[in-house]
Amino acid sequence: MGGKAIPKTFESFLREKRLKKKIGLREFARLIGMQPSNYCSIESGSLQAPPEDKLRNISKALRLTVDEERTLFDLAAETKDDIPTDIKQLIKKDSFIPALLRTVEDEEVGAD
Amino acid sequence: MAGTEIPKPKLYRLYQIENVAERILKDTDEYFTGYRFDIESFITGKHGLIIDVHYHLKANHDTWAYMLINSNRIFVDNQLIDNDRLEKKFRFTIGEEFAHYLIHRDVFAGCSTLEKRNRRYFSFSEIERKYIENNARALAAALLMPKGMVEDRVSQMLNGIETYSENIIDTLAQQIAHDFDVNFTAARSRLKMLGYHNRLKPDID
Repeated sequence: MGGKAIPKTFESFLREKRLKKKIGLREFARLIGMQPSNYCSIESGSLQAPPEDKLRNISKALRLTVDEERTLFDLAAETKDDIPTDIKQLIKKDSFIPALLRTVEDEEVGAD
Repeated sequence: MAGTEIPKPKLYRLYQIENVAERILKDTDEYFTGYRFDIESFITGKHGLIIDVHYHLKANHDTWAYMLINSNRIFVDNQLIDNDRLEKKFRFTIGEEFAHYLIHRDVFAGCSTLEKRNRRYFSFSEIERKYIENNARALAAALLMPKGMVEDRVSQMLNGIETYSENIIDTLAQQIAHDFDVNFTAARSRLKMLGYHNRLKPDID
């Protein structure tokens, strides 16, 4: 039972990290530049994850590690049924990456 | 809830409220900063309840908040969250909803929406509804202003005072409101609950 617990949802990850930092809902919303009720709706799962700039603010306010920030982006993308923003940027930045992904896909199809 | 008898709301006595509060507040030092109890962190962090927003709740349903026991959620009017001037009211309101969660879960069992909750609520008599509200208000006050802490603070403030002025309760309530981060009215009412109105009769010649 010593394994690291994987957060299930964006909102539970966010809530857990915020509570660990002992920051109240209103204070945290202000720290990341959001209306408290909007932030509250996001953390309760009623609204989908905020845009990238707010995610960066969240990461900064919670002082997330690189791995935690990646988890944040991955979970945020899941709420929108989308690809994580940082991965999108990687793909855009380097034309080699789409080709690499297609090669991997082709190889997987070939292996089947 | 077909076939299940819904219990009638009962009025809790003061000692019962204090007992519930004392039990709930056991080992909660980490949630106190001075006299201020961080009720929001306590109910979300320790009890796993979720605070959610119900936009225009007050305007449309004439209530600031409600709790849906089944989904572990407290729904709060957006103004109560956004308006800084309502922060103390926000603290007290979520305290009241948490109180419902603690002592009225059987009364509201199975109510999965506000409409169902309201239907249940209005199925009770006027006096039973008063019991529900009074219990919640009293327990919220006992959580935000724990008996022992209030008594300690009051005895500190009264130290050296031999005669009480007419406005002694108001003076105490102002300080209690400040220290415990609640509204003046809530502090005054808590002092009354604890019997200070009778204990501190002004000296009239």
